Amino acid sequence: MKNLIIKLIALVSLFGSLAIDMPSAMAQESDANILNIINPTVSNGIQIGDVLNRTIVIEVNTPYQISKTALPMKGEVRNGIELTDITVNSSDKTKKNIVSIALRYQVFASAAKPVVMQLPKEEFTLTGGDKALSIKVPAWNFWFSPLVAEGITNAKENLQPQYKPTLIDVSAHHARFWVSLALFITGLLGLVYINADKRWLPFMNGAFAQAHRSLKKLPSNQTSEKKALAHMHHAFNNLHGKNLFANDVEQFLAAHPKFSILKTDITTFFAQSNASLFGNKHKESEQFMSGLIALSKRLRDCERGV
Amino acid sequence: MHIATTDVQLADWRSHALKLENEVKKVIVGQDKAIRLMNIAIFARGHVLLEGGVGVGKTTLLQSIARCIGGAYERIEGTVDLMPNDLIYHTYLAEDGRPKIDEGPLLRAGENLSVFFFNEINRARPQVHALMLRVMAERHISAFKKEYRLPHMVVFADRNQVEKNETFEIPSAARDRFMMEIPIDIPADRELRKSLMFDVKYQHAENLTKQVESNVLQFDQLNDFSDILQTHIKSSNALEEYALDLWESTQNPEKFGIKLDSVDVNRLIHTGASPRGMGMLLKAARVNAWLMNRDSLYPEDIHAVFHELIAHRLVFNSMYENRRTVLARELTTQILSTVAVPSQSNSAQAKAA
Repeated sequence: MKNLIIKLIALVSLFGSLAIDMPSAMAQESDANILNIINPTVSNGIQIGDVLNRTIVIEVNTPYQISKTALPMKGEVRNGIELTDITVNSSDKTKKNIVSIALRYQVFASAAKPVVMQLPKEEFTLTGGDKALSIKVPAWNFWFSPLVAEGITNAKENLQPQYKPTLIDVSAHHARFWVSLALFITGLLGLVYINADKRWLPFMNGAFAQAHRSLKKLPSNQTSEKKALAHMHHAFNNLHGKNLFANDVEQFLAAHPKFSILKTDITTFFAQSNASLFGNKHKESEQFMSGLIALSKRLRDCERGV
Repeated sequence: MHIATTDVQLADWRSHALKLENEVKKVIVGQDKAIRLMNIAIFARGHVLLEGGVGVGKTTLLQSIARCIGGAYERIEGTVDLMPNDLIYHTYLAEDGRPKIDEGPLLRAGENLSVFFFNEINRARPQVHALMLRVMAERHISAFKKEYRLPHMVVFADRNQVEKNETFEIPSAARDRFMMEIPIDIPADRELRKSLMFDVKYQHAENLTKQVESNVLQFDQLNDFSDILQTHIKSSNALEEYALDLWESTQNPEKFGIKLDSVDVNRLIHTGASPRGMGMLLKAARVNAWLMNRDSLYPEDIHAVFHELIAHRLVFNSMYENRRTVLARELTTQILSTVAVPSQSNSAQAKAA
């Protein structure tokens, strides 16, 4: 019985308080009403730095209007949510104004695990009328997600790519690059092979390559002629495996057919060599030496097969 | 004027020399090299030893050449009982029944003797060799209380090295008197062999020799012309160095890196070529240069006569003597293949510079 009496007293008190507040609420409903609240479409997976927009549409009877001086402060941070922008648009009509308030928030909170956060409740003061009215906009809850999982020791392992850059197809360029590189290297090797003096590729630094190298270093005079001829004969002898004389040219060419295209030159060389070394018939040294150098180069090329 | 005369002489004699070769080649086939070498020996005024088997045409070759040279031709057969006096005189009973003495084959023609042919010289005794060698060197001999001069004589001798019975080895000093030892081989060409077998003209050696034109050369002018020829042909310093290297290589072949199969080269040579031999080598080489219409010596001139000039002069150690024919040929070939001209030391010096 006692409990019943207590319940009745509580119920009467509640209805009493409702009866006291009723006129104010009724006045608000009549002079300013919330027509629509447009909240963000996604309420989970919100992370630090995300921007959330909220639009409130209010219908206000004249002469009431939104107090511009009482608007929430731009830049205010509440529980890690910063109000970064606020825009108020109103359409004036004879009896009622439609006011659209656009709120722009940005999340600067941090948490080690997903938590429920909220865009804060707002209150807009109405002025211009006899009564002091205000519009209260409730808070809006959302799930805040941390960038990394809780308790990680190495953040790098948990990094997740956000936006992959759009890749350009470079396969054609690659193909062209490799082909060009291969051609360049082949050409370079070819040039080196033809012109180099040292022996680091097959058939290089043969007898005539050595002779050619020695001949190039000799000055053009009568003493050098003898040395040049000695180098050339040395090269022929080396290649032939024994001494080569004018009478043996045919035998030499039979053993080394790749020199056959220079048969006339070789025969002429031996005749000139005999005349110079043993016949004391000298030609003009410069011309003679240049001829020998040219011949040694041709023989070297033949030797290399180029 | 003098130079022009010499040039004319040289050209004139060259045409005669080449004609001699061509005449002999008409009757002797497959022996072109031997004919050229004998031609060289004639103009170098050297004696020749022919070496070859039986029936290869040595005698016919010599008779043909003797006919071309002109002058008197004498021959003697080497036998085991031949004595030196058989060359100088012979005795016989004259028609009156009294013994008579006449000059032997060496003296019979006197200064007109141009060719003396000693057949199978290795069958004769060393005493005969000694006489012949003296005459070959001095070209005169005293007999019948007077001196016989043989200024135009060249000796052609032959020997058969295959048959050893009743033969006497010619000592090295005797071999050295011969300018050349020329091998006469059977022609390798099948057509030539066929010709020698089936062509009846080769069956009569005497008739064959008669086909050769006689007196192509003037035998009594050969000595003088030889002097002109030898003076005319010049040799360069490079060639002289080469000839010296060749000489040294006959004495110390190992120094030039010369190697022979199955022979220890260090122990092969007892004595290399003699100064006389090298002098003869250059003399013969100059003739070859002249025949090739040159006035300078080339290495090829030396090569043309090297084996025939040097091989019989080499003295091998006794363990190799019985293989001397083969080894001498191999050694001279290796020398020419190995000793370089211009010398490789020059080439190395040039490279170092």
